[in-house]
Amino acid sequence: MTGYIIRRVLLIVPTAFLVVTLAFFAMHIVPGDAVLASIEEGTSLRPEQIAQMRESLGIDKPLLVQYGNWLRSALQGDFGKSLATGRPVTKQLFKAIPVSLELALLSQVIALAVAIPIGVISALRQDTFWDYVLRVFSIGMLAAPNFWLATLAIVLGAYWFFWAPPFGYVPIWQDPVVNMKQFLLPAAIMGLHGSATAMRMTRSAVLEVLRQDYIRTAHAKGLSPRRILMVHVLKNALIPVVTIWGVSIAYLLGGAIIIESIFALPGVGLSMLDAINSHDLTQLQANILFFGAAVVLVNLIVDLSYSLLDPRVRYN
Amino acid sequence: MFKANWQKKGLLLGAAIAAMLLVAAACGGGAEPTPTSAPTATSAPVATPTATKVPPSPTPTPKFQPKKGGSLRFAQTSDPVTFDVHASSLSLLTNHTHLTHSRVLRYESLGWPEEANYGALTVTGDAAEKWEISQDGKTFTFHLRPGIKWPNVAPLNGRELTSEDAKKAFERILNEPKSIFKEFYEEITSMSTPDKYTLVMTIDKPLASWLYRVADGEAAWITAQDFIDAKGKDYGVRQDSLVGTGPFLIKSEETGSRYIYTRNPNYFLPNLPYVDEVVWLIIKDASAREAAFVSGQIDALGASRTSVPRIQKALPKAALDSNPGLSNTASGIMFNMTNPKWQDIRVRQAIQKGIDQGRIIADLYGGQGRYQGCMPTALSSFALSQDELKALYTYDPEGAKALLAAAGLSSGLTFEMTTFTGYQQRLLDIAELAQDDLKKIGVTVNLKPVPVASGRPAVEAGNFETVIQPHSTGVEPDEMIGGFTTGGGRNFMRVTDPKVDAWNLQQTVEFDVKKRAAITKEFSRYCAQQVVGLIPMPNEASFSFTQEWVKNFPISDVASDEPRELFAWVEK
Repeated sequence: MTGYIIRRVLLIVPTAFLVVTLAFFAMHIVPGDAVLASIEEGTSLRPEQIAQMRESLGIDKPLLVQYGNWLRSALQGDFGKSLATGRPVTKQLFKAIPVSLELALLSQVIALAVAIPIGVISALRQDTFWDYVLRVFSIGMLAAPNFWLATLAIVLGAYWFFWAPPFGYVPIWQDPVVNMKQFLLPAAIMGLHGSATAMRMTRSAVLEVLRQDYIRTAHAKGLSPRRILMVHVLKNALIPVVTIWGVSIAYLLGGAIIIESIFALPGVGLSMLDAINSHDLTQLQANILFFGAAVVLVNLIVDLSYSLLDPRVRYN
Repeated sequence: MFKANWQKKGLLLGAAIAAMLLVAAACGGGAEPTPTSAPTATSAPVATPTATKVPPSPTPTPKFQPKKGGSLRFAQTSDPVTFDVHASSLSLLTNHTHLTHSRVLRYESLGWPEEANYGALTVTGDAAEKWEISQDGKTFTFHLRPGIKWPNVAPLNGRELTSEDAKKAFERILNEPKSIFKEFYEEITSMSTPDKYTLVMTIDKPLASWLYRVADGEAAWITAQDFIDAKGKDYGVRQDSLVGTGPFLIKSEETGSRYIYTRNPNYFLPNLPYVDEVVWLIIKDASAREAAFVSGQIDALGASRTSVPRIQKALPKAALDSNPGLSNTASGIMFNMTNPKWQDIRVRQAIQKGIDQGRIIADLYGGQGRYQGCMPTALSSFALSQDELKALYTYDPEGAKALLAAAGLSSGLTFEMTTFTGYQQRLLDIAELAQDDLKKIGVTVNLKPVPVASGRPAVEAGNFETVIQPHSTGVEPDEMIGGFTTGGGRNFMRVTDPKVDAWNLQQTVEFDVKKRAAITKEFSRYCAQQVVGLIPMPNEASFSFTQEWVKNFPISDVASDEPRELFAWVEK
C-alpha cells in the first residue's frame, strides 16, 4: 500500500512536467505576448520602450532559453513573478486555492447530499411517478447552464428581496457567517448542477446492485430493508459515484471560472482567466502545475477510498 | 501630440481654456473667423499671452450642510494591473489614484457644490495655490501650498511636500521607461525650483492646452521620488505604492476582493474629505454589479440602457445621470491612406455615404445616441453641432453608387476591415451593420477579426486596409487633431495633409477660444467632406446611478477625472 502511494505521488512529477511543458509552448502559439497585452488602449509606446519592457521580463530571449530559465527556477522552488503584475505567482496562487477549494468541497457536499438520496429513491421506486419526477429534476439541473442559474439567482434575489450575497471575499477564518453567505448560493448552484450526474450514476448503480445474488440472499436471511440498503447496496453502489465525485472535485479545483466571476470569488479560475488574457505565462504555469498535481492527488485519494468501500480491493 | 488614453471621459474643455484666458490676455475677441483657405504650416500664433498672476479659485460656500463620516463603496471589474501612477491611464488605477494623490493643478466643476456641473470644467490649484505665466506664454511658475504633508511612511515620515517633489514627478513621467505619458509633456524644456514651494516650468512654445495638461487627471500625479527609490523594483506592484498627498490614505488591500482607503487627517484642504472611508470592490460580472447596487452594497453603478427602467423601478430614489451620447472619443472606420484603393477621394466618400449612421443610432442604440465628428462632440466648444454632423454624414446610397461609378468601380469594390475580438462589442456590431449597408451599393466588406493584442501592433505598423477602432480621446483639441497630422502619434491612417497639419499648428498656439474653435470646426468639416482617413461612428448614450443617500457625487463619464470622493458625503 505504501509503495503504491509513493509510486502514485511520484507520478505527479512527470504528469505536471508534461502538462506545463505543453502549456508553455501552446501559449506561445497564441499571437502576442505579455508586453503587447499590457499596452493600454490608446497608448502608443515607442519600439525601444517595448523592447526594454520585454528585456526586463526576460521574454525577449529565444523560446527554449525562456523555458529552460523557467524550469531551472521552478526546480529550485521559485516559480517567478507575474509578467502582468510583478507579484510572486505562488503567493497569488496560494491566495486563490482556499477559495476554489472551499467552493469545490461545499458544492460537492451539496451535490452528494442531493444526489445520493434522490438516486436511491429513484432506483427503489423505479418507473413510478416519483422516479420520473426525480429524473426530470436531475435532467433539468443538468440542462440548466450554471451561468444562467447563477445570474438568475443573483439578479432575482436583488430585485425581489433586495438581497445579494455579500461581495468582497471574506475568508472563513475571518468571518464564518459572512463567508457562508458568500459561498452557499454559488455552491448550491454548482452542487445542484453536479448532483444530476451523480444522481443518475447512483440510480443505475443501485439498480445494478439490487439485482445481485447477495442482495437476494440478504433478503432471504431476513435482514431489514434498511440494513440491506445501507450496508449491502449503498456501499457497493458508491464506487462509481465516488469516482465521479473525485473527478468533479479535481476539475473544480482548477477553478469554476464562471461562478467565481459572477459571485466575485477570487479563486483559481479567475486567476487563470486573468493570466490567459494578459499572456501572464508565469502565473499560468504555476496554476497549471497546481491543477495537474491536484488531479493526480485527488485521483489517488479516490483510488484509495475504493478499498474502504470494497474490502476486496487491494493495492500492491 | 496626443494623450495615451481612449477611455471615454466626455469632458468639455471650454472652461479650461477660459481659465487660460484669465491669465493670458488674448487679442481682441471680434467675430468668429471662418477660415476660407487653408492656413500655412508656418502660421504664427493668432494671439500671444501676457504675463498674469492667477488668484486661487475661491472655494464656494456650500448651501448644503455636508455630513461627515460614513463610507462610499464602489465596484470595478478587476484589480489594477499596476499601481505605478505614471504607468497606466485606465480607470482601474485612476479610481484609486484620485484618492491618494494630488496634482499641481486640477479641474474644478463650475457651480460646485450646489450643481455639480461637471460638464464645464475649469483649471484650479491643487497642490499649487497660485501660478503665473510669463509674457511669452512659455514659462509657468507654480507656487505650492506650504505645509502639505506626505503620509507617515518611510522614508517620507510625514515630511513636507516641496517643489522638488513636483519637479521630480514630471521628470519621472518623462524618463521612466514604464511611463506612458512621455509625449504628453515632451514640450518641457526645463524645470527649476527657486525655493521649496516654487516650481518653474518652461515649454518650447506657447500652448493653449498647457495648463490642462498640468492638471491632467490621469498623468500629472505628484509622486515622492525618494519613496519610489526606496521601494525599488517593488514600486507599482501593490497598493502600498499609492503614497501621495491626496485626500485618502491606503488602509488595506485584498487582491481580487477589495481595496480600502481611509480619510487623510492631514489633507491640505480644510474639512475635506467628508467621508471616512472609500471601498473599491472587485466585481467582474455586470449582473453582479447591478445586484450589488440594487441590494445596496455599492453606491454607484454604470448602467446599460436596457437596465435603466428596472433599476429605476426598484430604486425610484436613486439618482440617474445620463449622457445622451456625447463622447470625447472618436471611434470609427479608418482607411489606410497609403493603400492605392483609398487614393481616390470619391471612393472614400462613397463608403461614407453608403453607411447608414441613422440606423446605427436607431437600431443598435435604441434611438439613444449621437453623431460623432473628427472633433469629438464632448469637446463642445470645438465640435460641430448635431445638425451639422447629421448633414455631413447623411446616408445617400444613390450618391454613393454614383461616386463609385465615377471612380470606375461600377462593377463593385471589395476590401478588408480589421476588427478586434474580445474588445468593444459595439464596434463589431457597427462593422456588421456597415458591411450590410455597403453590400447594397456593391461594396463587399470582408471582416477580419483578430485578437486585440496582436491586431493593434499590426494596425500601428500599417498592415491593414481599413480598421474599426477608437481613434483618439481627448479633452483638448490638440489630442484630436494630432491624430490626423503627418507623423502624429495616433495617425494610424497615415494621413499626410498639409491643410490639417497647418490647422493643427495654428490651434495649438491660439489662445482665443472662439478663434481656436473656428479652426477646429473648419478642420472637422473638412475631415468629413474629404473623408480624411476616418469615418467617425455614432456614440451610444450612457447611464449611471448613485444611491439616494450619496450626495454631491456626479458619477458620469464627464466627472471621471475629478476627485469626486473629495466632495461627496453620505446621508443615511
